[in-house]
Amino acid sequence: MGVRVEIADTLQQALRLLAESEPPVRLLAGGTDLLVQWRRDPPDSGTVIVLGHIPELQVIEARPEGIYIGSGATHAALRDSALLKAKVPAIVTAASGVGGRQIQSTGTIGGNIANASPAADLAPPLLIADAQVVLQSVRGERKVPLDTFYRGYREIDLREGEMIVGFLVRPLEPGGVEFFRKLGMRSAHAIAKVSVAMRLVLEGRKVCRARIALGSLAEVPLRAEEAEKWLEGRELSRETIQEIGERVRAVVRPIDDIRSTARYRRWVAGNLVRGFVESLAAGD
Amino acid sequence: MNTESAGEKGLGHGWIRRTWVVNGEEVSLSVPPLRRVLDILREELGLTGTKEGCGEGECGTCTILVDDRPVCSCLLVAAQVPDGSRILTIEGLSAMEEGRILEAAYVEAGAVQCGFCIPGMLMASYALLRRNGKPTDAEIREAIAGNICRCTGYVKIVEAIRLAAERIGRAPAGK
Ligand SMILES: Cc1cc2nc3c(=O)[nH]c(=O)nc-3n(C[C@H](O)[C@H](O)[C@H](O)COP(=O)(O)OP(=O)(O)OC[C@H]3O[C@@H](n4cnc5c(N)ncnc54)[C@H](O)[C@@H]3O)c2cc1C
Ligand code: FES
Ligand code: FES
Repeated sequence: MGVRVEIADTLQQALRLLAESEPPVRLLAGGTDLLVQWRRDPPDSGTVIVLGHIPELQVIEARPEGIYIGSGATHAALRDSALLKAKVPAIVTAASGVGGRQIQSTGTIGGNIANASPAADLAPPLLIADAQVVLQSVRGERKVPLDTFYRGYREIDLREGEMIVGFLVRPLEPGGVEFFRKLGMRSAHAIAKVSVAMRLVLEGRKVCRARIALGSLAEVPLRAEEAEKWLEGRELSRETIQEIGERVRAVVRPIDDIRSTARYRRWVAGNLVRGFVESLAAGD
Repeated sequence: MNTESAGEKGLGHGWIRRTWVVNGEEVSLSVPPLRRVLDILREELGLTGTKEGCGEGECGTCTILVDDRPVCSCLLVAAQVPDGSRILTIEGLSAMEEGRILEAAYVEAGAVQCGFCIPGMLMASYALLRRNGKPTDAEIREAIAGNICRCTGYVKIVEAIRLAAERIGRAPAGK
């Protein structure tokens, strides 16, 4: 017996294999999550489809509808992309902080999101860029906003026979700035304990658009929507700086396995957001 | 893609044929598709300089270069590495001028204690120096962030890499 391993050379081939292979079918991208899991629990039936050889999944490019990032783009490719650095810089900052260089060489953005960890580093920067998840199966294509793609703890809206082919993100607007920060144990190894991403579009000192996203602070990576709404239209004043941290803390719904440090995490998230707003206010 | 039969638990059904350029030499082998590159190097090819520490991507001891990028060979299986890939292990690096300079710098800087982390550290150091001949200390630290050393506290390792960078920069033969 043993698990059958199929190496897909094109997207079409991968989708066909996904539809027709003997279940359970598992997709292997960089393997930095999956191969660790398999050490304890190796697959012994069904099919593994290897995705790493498919050029279509590695595309990073500007399209009319936004910046497109293929699901197979590695953290190294994100880290070194001049396009992403100019248009969605928080993604570059986050990718540069995933594991060490070795993990960045093979780990992919698609695997990071499909793994569905509340601590996935790429989730907050994708959320602040209004990312759409582009999904395909032999039946066709579907686009889902990332914030509804996450459905619950370790649960994503991925249907049978479907795979993530890429992400469409909104490029930074004129007057826009982005920020990403994670606080963990040892940055290269710990799964982030708290991460915050933020995009603000400013007109002078006024905030026109705000996006704030938090990782490891709830059962899924999430946007602090009430805090965003509160911030939009406000000046970067002393009062705004004072209050934004509180507004962010109010959003957080800690989950069981992190409850012991929930207060600490909430406090840190508020401070990170406040610090970013403060540095922007000081910069003018 | 894979036709031959036989399969070992966890390694995938059947065998695949792979042709890679390992330390400059073309190597062709038949392997189970989910066999780790770490095991192929050590057991099929006798390249035992690459060590296994944690086996889970955390320690960097098993670092090799695939097409010039540092990767953990413990988290890489045969089926992920296409034909024609260039693999560099510590044996290949040691035979190169840059490798000899790096090793000497590590010894001189006092960066080697038990030595367990060193093959991986040298590979990560070389991956850095081949794309950045004059790294800052911050860049050096970032380049070895995926490598754990339990003995030295990293200061001497950073020093060793700085020293090697200077010497490679001065060496007559280029990269
Ligand atoms: C030492 C170490 C440090 C790490 N540090 C970090 C860190 O700092 N931050 C962080 O966020 N993560 C970290 N990780 C986790 C991991 O590296 C990342 O989540 C990585 O991006 C996963 O991508 P991958 O391609 O390796 O996924 P894989 O292991 O190949 O796959 C992961 C999951 O996603 C599925 N999948 C993959 N591609 C697709 C697709 N296209 N469509 C649908 N499903 C798919 C797989 O079936 C599997 O279930 C670390 C891991 C290790 C081992
Ligand atoms: S043995 Fe591969 S990273 Fe530890
Ligand atoms: S010298 Fe002992 S682990 Fe680095």
